[in-house]
Amino acid sequence: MPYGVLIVTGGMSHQENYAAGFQQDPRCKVIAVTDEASVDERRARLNQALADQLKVPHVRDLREALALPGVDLASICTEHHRQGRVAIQCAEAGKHLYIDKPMAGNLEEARKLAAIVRAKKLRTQMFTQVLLPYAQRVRRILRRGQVGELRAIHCDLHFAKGFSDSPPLARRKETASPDMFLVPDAKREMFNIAVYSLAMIRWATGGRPFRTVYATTANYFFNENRQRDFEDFGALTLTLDGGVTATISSGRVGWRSHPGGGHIRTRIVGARGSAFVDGGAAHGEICADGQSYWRVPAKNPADPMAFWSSSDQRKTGGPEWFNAAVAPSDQSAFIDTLEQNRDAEVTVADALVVLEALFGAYRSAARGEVVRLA
Amino acid sequence: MRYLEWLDKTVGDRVSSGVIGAPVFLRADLQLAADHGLLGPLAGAAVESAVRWLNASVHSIYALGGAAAGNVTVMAEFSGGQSALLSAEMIWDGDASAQLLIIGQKGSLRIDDFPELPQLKGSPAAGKRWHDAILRSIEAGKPVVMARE
Repeated sequence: MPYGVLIVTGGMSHQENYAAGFQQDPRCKVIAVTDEASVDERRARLNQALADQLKVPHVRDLREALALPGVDLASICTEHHRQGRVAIQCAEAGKHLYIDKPMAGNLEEARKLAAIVRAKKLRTQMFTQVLLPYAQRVRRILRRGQVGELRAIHCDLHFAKGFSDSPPLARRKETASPDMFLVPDAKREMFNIAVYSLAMIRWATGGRPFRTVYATTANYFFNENRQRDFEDFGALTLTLDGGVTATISSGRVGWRSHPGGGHIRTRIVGARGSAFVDGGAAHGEICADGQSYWRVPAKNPADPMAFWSSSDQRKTGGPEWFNAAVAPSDQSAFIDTLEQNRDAEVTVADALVVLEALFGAYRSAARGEVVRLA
Repeated sequence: MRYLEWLDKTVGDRVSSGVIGAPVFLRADLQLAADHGLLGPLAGAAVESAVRWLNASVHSIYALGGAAAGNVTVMAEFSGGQSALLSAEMIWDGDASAQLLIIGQKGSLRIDDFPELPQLKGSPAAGKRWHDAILRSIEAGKPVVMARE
């Protein structure tokens, strides 16, 4: 019997990719697209659109969908402010969870979810970049002891999308406890992007605990983010157990900041050497007559920041840049854990630690202080 | 250190030309010290260059590591909200490197350079004020505010 997958939230979310990943895995059968019954008409339309694309029913009430026969797991990708409560509902119904990053919009729900998952012995996985070749290489370097004992790890992760408006520069006043993270034209980008680096650092260092965080956030690029009071960039400095220092820069930095998807860089400093892993090093490149410099997609009013796969993402320039080998499917990796009855690389328990660091970073940025983590 | 002077001018000239728009973020990993005692001064010199490249005054400095740790990490925040993450590291097996990434509002500038050791003779000439602040931050375990709004 294939694993029955319930798709929670549809188009204009990363579910576009996750649902396709599950549908392409022959071990899975997508049962339906669903969501909370109270979602607005825009969200309901987008949910219906993905259901049509997947050729599965759209069940408007999550409670009804969770009661459908044959549902083994839920792939959850709602807006973050409601993702915790939705995931709790799915976990209470005994479904394994594949969940978008970060796992929730507040720590209370995240902790409750982690407790339910533990009590019900559910399998969980948060989407991250740890299966990408660059992350695998970082972990191999650390495991081999290639640089000696780890002293510091520095990560840059920038998404080269969106039309930079060059807003006036000023120090940002951050909110200590943000509660909204995603609207159609803006995201809190430290929340959405630093999560990858935090998860990768935790995973690559074997779950080494974060001890402190100091952070700053900024509005460097987009009027959409300024108008929503969402940061488009964040920089973090952390300490980890054993005196390890970690730094992260994270943000959406505009189409023209990189010929490909953006900078993905990790520097590892050890007691006997250092290593640099460039996530963009594996790529194809074309230089030729007739290339006109920097053609970017037209601004899509429904997705002006090019968040989602269904929007036009074509960018070309000189040189033309294209990604190298496709990474293994994160969704299939989760199905592997179900089949093999083992933990995923990044579980909800790991995701909770990462979320604690993220919320610590917001407190730090709001207060200008180093924040101690649990 | 002749190399740092070259780097400071080369990057400064390009950034000030406006080619990447207003610079807002700097990542600099400088593996240019063969002596632990030079890590702090090197980090101080990096802050000095950051001030010029980002065209802003320093608001605060938060530093970790130190000579004994074999690396110094600095997070600097600037008057216009610009930020910098700077790392000074030891040279291993004679291989020095300088890796810079500057993000501007309209583009980015990246340098990956591997200078020869003769270019790295001597101590960094600039940045003593920032080196002092780095030492204070490491000792206190918290950021040092250089300028109040």
